[in-house]
Amino acid sequence: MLKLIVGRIAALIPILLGISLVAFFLVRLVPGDPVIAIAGVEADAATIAALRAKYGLDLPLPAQFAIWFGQVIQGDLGRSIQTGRPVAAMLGTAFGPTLLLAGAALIVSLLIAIPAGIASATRPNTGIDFGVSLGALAGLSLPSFWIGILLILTFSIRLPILPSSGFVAPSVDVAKALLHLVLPAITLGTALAAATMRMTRATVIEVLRQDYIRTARAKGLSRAVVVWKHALANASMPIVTLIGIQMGQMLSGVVVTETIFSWPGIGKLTVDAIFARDYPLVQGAVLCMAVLFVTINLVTDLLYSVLDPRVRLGQ
Amino acid sequence: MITRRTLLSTAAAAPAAGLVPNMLSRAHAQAQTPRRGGTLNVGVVSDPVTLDPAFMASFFEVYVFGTLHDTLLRITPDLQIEPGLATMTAVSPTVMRFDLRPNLKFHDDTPLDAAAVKWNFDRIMNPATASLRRADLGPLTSVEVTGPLQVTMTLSTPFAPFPHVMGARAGAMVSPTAAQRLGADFGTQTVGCGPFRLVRWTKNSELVLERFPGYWRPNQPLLDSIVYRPIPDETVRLTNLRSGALQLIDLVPPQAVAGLRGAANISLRERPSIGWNAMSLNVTRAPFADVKVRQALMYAVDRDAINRVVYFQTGTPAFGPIPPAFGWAHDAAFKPFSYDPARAQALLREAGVSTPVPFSITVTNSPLQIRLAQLIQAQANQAGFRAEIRQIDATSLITVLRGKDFDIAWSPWSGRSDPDGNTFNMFTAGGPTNFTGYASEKTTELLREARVSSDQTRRAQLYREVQQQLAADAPLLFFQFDSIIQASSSRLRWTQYPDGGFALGDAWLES
Repeated sequence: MLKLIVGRIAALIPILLGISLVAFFLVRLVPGDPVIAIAGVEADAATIAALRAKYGLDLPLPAQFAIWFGQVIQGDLGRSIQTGRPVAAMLGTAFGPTLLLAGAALIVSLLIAIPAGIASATRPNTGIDFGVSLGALAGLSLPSFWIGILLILTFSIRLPILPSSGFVAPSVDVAKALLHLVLPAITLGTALAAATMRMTRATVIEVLRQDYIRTARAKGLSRAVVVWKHALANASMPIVTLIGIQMGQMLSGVVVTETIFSWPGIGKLTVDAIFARDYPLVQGAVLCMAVLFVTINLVTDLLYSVLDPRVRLGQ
Repeated sequence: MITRRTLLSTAAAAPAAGLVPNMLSRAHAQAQTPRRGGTLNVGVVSDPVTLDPAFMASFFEVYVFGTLHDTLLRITPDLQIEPGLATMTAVSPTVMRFDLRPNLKFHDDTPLDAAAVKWNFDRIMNPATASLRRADLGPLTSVEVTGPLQVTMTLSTPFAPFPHVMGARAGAMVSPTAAQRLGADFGTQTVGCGPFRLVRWTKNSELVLERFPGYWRPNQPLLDSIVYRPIPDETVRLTNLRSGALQLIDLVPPQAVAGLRGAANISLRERPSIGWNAMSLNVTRAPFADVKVRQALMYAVDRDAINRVVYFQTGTPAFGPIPPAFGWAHDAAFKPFSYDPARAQALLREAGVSTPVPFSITVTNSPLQIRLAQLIQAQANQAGFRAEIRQIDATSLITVLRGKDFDIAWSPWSGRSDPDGNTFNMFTAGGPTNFTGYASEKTTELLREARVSSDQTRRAQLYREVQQQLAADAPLLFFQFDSIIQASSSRLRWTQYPDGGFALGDAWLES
């Protein structure tokens, strides 16, 4: 286990070096630069030149990369050109809300997907199965901005019981934080639930056909114990894999939900930074997301060994 | 409580009973008794980029500019100049004396005196600061302290829009102590002298201001605090206004106006803006290097149809850069082009170009601009052109405009409170926002004269001539003068400005 963790962390170094290079040069391929974005349409040539010099953008690209990478190695991600704030602080402030939202959305999606998937798998080709499949299809097809607006219309305007947007930190007020979390978490969670539900259905159906399930039934175990204890445990590996992948995807997909609900997370911050060509912020955000992505994959791998003793023994 | 609606309906029914004067006076008395307190939640399209006026360049800063900052002079909603932090006296056409009000303070309680004013201008004019305001100051050469509360500014030439510059971003005073202490963080923790001071700013979530008890205007501000929430999606912004989570929103989309006019508890506000909407024509390359081809495009486009289809009959069709908000300079009769595809085709024949003439329409990927580009494309194609649409993002658009890498491109102007700000930099040869490559000696000469003349009647005449020359040379396709469309809870009393900004020092919420 320790070897696995150390190996993964060692593998991070070349990954991050590669990501740094890609992030640095890719963002510079897009037309426009941060000075054009902050100076707007009005600035004259002299002001633009002065601003470029101020942010070191007049230096050759390899020199700019060397300066930035030198800072990164020392743990300094630099300052955002647009806001002047330290990039590390901006990312730090934005990661918390995104992780909170992603975690809550994951819980929502599992609460929907696992029971629905199992209900569907244990009653294949019945009304319940078709209903659940239809729900999953809707969840996959409906864009999250539409679901978000529908939820706001229903729960903030028709039945004004939940706030329509904004973020309250749990450290400030736990109850308010939870109330603000409900609608964004449902919006993001329903989209995730659809795929997880389909995967749960498929794997549970497959597992239910296996011999040990027949044995368990023959022993006289109740249907609930057979399905929830014996079948689900063995069906969980592909589901965990899928959730791991989804968590990674969620980092890029969360931007729509964050935009609708004014959620100050990493997705919106990064997209805004790209539009503003805020090089230090884009580079910092990409690096941090890469670290997070690798960490999620590591956690997924570790979960395998917890869920399946054969993976542990195989080591 | 008497709402405007109940008052009007009762007033219509009851004149014979003699009720009207009584009710009107009661309503009037209520309307005149502003209430102190409360938090105003404002929905805006986007966060500001910076709070430091020396570097403000984004439209989204107009929402905080008037609340966080105050200026040496004040521009009223009808574009008149009033004393602000100071009164201005023109000693000569090139020497202006500013006398500050006594006991002015910044939000950090440091004094706003002549030394602080000079420090602000020195900061902007220092090339190392790279302030975007340096160009705004035009021919200003020096700012000298001539008394504890008096500064004297000297210009190299007369500059008619100077009072307007002092009422805008270049005339906003920030705390020298705080700016020196905060350095690079000043843009996010700015200390100004406006009616509200900064409490905290969580990017993409909320920007919170609270009332500044040391503000100089009597009985202002009335609100306890203002919370700005950036909500880019117009539907979500409107939904939050309806739900009561917000009490004021900016940029109501034109298509929502009809639906909001009768909405309960919502007050819709419209006023002509000081800006214009136009497409820049690249006069440095074919096909629009030829004035006849440019003229043909002017006749090919139906501005009334654009006003109907794209702007849902808000605002008015435009033919030049002087909008109706400039009462003294606007020429309502100025309509040099009508929609005439046959005339457009005749002009293309005169130009001797082979038809259809291909060109691209560069816009950013917003629904309004795409709708607009599609309409111009369809109309141009009927008049002998073959237009294609090219979509890019907003930052790329600036690069494309500066590099003149377009045939025609979206290039609207949010406007300034003096016509000089709507014309000089765009239409003089080599001006910083002259993206078209247009260079007319006559236009440059007219604009230079209008800039230095102190006679408003003469200036109005000069701007009329500028508009005529622009119509003849056709470097831009003007099509729309926007309305500033904003909406609020009917409980909110506030003043709307033609630049779309929120000052809110005088705003208050009914109980």
